[in-house]
Amino acid sequence: MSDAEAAAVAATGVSPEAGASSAVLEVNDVVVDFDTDAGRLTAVNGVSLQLATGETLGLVGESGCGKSTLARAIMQLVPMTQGSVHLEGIDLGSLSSRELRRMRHRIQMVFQDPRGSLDPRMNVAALIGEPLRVHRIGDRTSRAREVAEAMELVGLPARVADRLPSELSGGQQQRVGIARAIVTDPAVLVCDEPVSALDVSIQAQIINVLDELRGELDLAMLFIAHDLSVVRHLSDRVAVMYLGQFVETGTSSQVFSEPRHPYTQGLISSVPRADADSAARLQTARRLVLGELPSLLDPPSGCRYRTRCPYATEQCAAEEPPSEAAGPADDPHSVWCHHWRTIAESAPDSQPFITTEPAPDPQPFATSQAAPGSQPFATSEEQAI
Amino acid sequence: MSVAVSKRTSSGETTPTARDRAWGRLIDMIGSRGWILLVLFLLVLVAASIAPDVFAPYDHDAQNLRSRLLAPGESSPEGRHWLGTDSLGRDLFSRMVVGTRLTLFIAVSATLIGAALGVLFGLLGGYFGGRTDRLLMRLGEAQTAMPMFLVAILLLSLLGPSVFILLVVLPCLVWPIFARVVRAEALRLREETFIEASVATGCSTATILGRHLLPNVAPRILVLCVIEIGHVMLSEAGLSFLGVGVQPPDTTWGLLISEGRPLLAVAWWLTILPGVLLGISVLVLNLLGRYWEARSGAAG
Repeated sequence: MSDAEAAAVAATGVSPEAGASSAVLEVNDVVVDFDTDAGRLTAVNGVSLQLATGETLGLVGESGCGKSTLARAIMQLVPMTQGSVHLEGIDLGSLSSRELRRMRHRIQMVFQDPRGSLDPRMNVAALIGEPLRVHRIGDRTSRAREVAEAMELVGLPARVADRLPSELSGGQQQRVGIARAIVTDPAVLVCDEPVSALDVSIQAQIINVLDELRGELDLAMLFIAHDLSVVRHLSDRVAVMYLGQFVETGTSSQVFSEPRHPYTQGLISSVPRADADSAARLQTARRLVLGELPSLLDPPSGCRYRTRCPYATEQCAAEEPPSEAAGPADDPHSVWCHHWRTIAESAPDSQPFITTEPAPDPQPFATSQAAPGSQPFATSEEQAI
Repeated sequence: MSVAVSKRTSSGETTPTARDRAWGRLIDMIGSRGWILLVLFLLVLVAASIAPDVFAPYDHDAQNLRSRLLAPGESSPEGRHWLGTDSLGRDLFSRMVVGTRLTLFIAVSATLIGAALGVLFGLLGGYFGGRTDRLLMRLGEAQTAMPMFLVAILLLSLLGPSVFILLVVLPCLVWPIFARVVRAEALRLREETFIEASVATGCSTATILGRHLLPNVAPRILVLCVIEIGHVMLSEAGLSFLGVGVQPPDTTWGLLISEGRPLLAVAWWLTILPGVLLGISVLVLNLLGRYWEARSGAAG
């Protein structure tokens, strides 16, 4: 692969083994704007991704970074200002509403709120059978059979078939949501934080259901979460999103063991762990992700992360960072940061941010006070701790 | 009606008024078992309209000039007239029983027609919003603002009174009420995730309106129907009283009241007793509707 090709791959987040031909979902440069009372905000700002059959892409980022909006744009539930979504080679944006409706059984979604996403006046069997009914798949008896199969696949006992959603537990409700989504045998499954609303004890069960399904049904899955451990468990590849843009993409092991973007590093070290280093890691996280999420109504110039980044310089305020391959030329690992090389050199790859010491010599980057619009960073204070 | 008032009503929000509080106290008085009595009363009315002969002691149209204007409880050669007789010696109780059928028929069918229209407009307006919504709601407000009673009298006197015209005019009185309630519910429901989920699933708009929105507003529609049947009953009685509604020999409670009015000074029962029955029926329907509404509201 030539350098130019590699750059293109890095820019679109295509994994090298998933060529354009095998991509079942192709999202190009999607922009979603919302008009609010306070003005126009850009929730998703030029995001591209590709997904191959059987592959799972984990999408992480904090609340309000545009993850769910991206999912809804892919599902064509919110209008895109710009960009395109191709499902199995078909441009969804070019379809009439009727044609789009007919395509929908190939791409389905699992929602965050299991109870809210189920019609309270429909029983389980009707809810799971609805996609088959509206897409006129099979006859009455074959639908009943497929509903029963789907219920078994997601681990719902047959006796709940005539219950209403309000009579089910949260975990069972989400199983119904998943069964609804897979009953039409879709090519792509979009999961928008499918476990965030559930008890921790139930989360693992639902994750396992999804894990088994994607193997069994050969699903391409876009898995959105803010829980990194869940994403790490499920995903082949991971994309990290910040304020409507990707900041880092790569295989799951690359992003988690060699995070290159300071935001990714901060996210990973903010995951609490039951070990001796936990406190130190949290401190690292505090140092790497400063202050509050800026408003999408008025995003920072240049690199959007710079207002919270301890390494920010004037360059970060002036130029939007391009996507760079963070490894060998054919590496799918991409990072959107001006300084990732310097940051990587200053911290050892194998054990990122486990030492109590702050990353050696943050001084070269701490000139950011000069950067217009960025807040002064509490480097000295952090070192004192 | 001023613009400000209609805006407030079209938003579907309600703040408790003195009137609402009075209804609340009445509903509290029903208690948990009282509503069975109310339902029983309605069942008797329905039974009387299905089989009036079982309930009516005399032929409602049999004239007997020798036993004219008997007061309640007096007897004629044929027997005792519990509610008295009219100026042609006809048994008032029998006439009230027979009048039940047409009274109920007109009230129920006019309400159902109005409900169907209002639900359709309300769903469309609430779900689509924008221009459709504004058009439909302005139509409803125009309708509400027009003195429909005068329009009804005009229509009925131009085209001649008939039950059919009543079934055109009376629904016009009630559909805006249904449209407002359903619209407010649809506005709320369309923001729910399950509606978004059904779009994502691939449901057509008709499916979303018919299979998701409608079942979720159905309980409120039913409650409103019960209340509105009472109101339509009153309106029909009013039109019949004015002589532009149902015409003899057909009879309804409203027509009975109207027929008794000239004799109010000599035979009070001819006006008062059908009036009391009408009043009680409207009250029962109202109480029942509001009781169910309060109970379902508290439940979820």
